[in-house]
Amino acid sequence: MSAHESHLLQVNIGPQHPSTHGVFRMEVTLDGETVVALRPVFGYLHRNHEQLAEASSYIQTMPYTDRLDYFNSMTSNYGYALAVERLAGIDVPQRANYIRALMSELTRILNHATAIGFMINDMGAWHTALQFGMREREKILDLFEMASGARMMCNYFRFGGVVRDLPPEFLPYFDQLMRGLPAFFDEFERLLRDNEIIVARSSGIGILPREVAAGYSVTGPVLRGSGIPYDIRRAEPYGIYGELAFDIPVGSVGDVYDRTLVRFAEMRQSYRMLQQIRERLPDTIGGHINPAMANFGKQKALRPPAGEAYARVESPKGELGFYLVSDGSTRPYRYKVRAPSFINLTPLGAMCRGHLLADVVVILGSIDIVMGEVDR
Amino acid sequence: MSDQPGERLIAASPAAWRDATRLEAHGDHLPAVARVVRDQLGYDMLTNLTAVDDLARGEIEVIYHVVSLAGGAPLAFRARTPRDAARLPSLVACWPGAELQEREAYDLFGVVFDGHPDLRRIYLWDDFIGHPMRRDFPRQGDKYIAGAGEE
Repeated sequence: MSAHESHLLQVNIGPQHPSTHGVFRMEVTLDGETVVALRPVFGYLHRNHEQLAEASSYIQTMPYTDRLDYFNSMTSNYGYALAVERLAGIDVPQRANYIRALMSELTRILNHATAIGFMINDMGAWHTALQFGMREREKILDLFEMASGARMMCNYFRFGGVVRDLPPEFLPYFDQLMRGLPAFFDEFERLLRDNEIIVARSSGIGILPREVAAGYSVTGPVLRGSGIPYDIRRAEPYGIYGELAFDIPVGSVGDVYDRTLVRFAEMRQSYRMLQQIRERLPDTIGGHINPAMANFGKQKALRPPAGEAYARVESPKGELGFYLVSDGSTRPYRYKVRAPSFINLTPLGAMCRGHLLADVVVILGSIDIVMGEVDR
Repeated sequence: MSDQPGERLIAASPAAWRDATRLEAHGDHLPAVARVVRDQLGYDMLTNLTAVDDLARGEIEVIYHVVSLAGGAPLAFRARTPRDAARLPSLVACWPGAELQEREAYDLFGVVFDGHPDLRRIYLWDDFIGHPMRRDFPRQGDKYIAGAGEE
């Protein structure tokens, strides 16, 4: 050691790097293979989404929200619809709320199944684990296609409900999916949960202690992985979530492994909620949309009274919030998206410091980001 | 804000976001108000920070949405600053989660947050001129539109 002087090395990971899940760059300062500092660099996918929305009528923004978190267009739609409904005082019929929750929980299962798969990709188990998640995701996308006509850019929600009711073939296919899901959870967990390499690569890595997690404003599985049982479906219930029974799984240490376990457990909780929704769906009252808003002309001409509203939903990645200010015209005066993927990156530098370079991609994978939402 | 911001804040705690009292803090008192909100009222998470360009009043309003992880009603408070010299104290020391969000408000609205550890543009490149979320930013014909100023 004595003859060699140690130099710090600057390395750019990204923007074109398979582990960054899109065009995202990390400026890493290394001492040997150990991370001394890490700075995330944003903006490669920035398109000023918020200004586009302020130049559009309220309903024109609905399909844009699909492009925020393009894995979970249903929950992005939900957050935006909820904010506009609060602003304009629009009621949602019971059946529409059930359909919305059903889509949201299906979305959570597909997101977590693929997020775990992608993270294990980053560990080097190239695509084998991911294919298990992708297989279930395809079935859920079949359901989305039946309901909305699109697999990923669903554009399914409208102010006051959803664009159309579930087609007759939806529920039989849904029941078939539900029958297979417990076996999928078991198989997926058996494959990954106790795998020696995965445990070694993820436990004790990227710890976000419980005491600092709240200060960093992280939400979703990252916050719950640090042991804080905070879930907007419980803290500020929207739609029918106040009526559904579910548990909030939490981690204990706040490392990559805990965040992964939280995602495994949340898929089972979503399954539990889907069972309750399925059971009650035939008895729901009201149509798929508030009759006063059923005509698309009403959606187009919507002029919420002057005021402001902030609505948030528990998207699979965390708290997805929409802040709207209306001046009484057909376009929002201010439209802001509180994107969970973006804000969950705040402690990335702190979480990576002291770990090996190879752990950085695993920590990033455990946060579960999607660049469409980070850069907006 | 008076010398005892805490008492006025407690009286102003709203029942829900929708009815959030328009609680405004003078820019100079913002760090003190934030500490009262965090330590005395128990709002341990700054969930959302954003700005609104109030062109009519010539001011930029910065809104802070805070929640308590233990439960209870969320709170929104806000501060105003003149558009032509937009400047507010940073709250990163109180809530580290403000770091990226203040950078975003700086980049898109041009609000300078004094005391921010690393206040740089976040989405736009460093030599970009102007702040595109301001209401009077030209929506077309500026020098960044393809074709303008190119050979």
